[in-house]
Amino acid sequence: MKLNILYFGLIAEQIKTTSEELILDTSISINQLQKKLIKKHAILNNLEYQIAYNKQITSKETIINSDSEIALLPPFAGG
Amino acid sequence: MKNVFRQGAISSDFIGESIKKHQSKTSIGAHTIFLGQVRADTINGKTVTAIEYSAYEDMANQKFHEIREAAFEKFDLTCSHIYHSIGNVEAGEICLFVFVSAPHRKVVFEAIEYLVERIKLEAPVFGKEIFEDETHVWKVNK
Repeated sequence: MKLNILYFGLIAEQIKTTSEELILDTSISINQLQKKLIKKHAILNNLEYQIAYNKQITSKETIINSDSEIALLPPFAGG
Repeated sequence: MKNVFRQGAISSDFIGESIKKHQSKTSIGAHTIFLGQVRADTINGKTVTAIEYSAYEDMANQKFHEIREAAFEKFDLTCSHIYHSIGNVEAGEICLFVFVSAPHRKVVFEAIEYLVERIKLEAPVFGKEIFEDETHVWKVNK
């Protein structure tokens, strides 16, 4: 299963990338994915963000079980 | 899905043209327009000269669509349009243009507020506030 992880705004600036691919062999929850990402990018511990799963903000218990797009979204500033 | 984003500032010509286009829709009796303008805020003694907008465009366009659909369900509207800047917008320039039209006045006031508040809260748009010395901070909606 292939996850395309997108980073925006302050998060992209801090991590120094706007996207990366993650290959997983089992289904995981958003929560578990978040832990994996924090392990990789410790700075995420200090940043505020929401996670979108296929362009929807969903509960942290949601299970990701197929190729998906995941986005880490810092606070919104539209308008 | 309609693309709400426009490169750079939204010009007064564009806004004027948009008003003009609605003159053929003669069932309309009332319009409201909301314009978001970039403010030259002073933060820690430095003045904001521009905001550089970026967005999760696919999700944002989906979200803008959803918000418009909800407004049509909630209020008796003839039409509604949303335009948001992407890229650089100087202080004093327009970055958001929301336009609501209906047969009668009461709903257009309510609908414009409904749309703008939901856009601020739910659209994944990010803003880098750039200072004169080219340093920046990331804006957060209040």
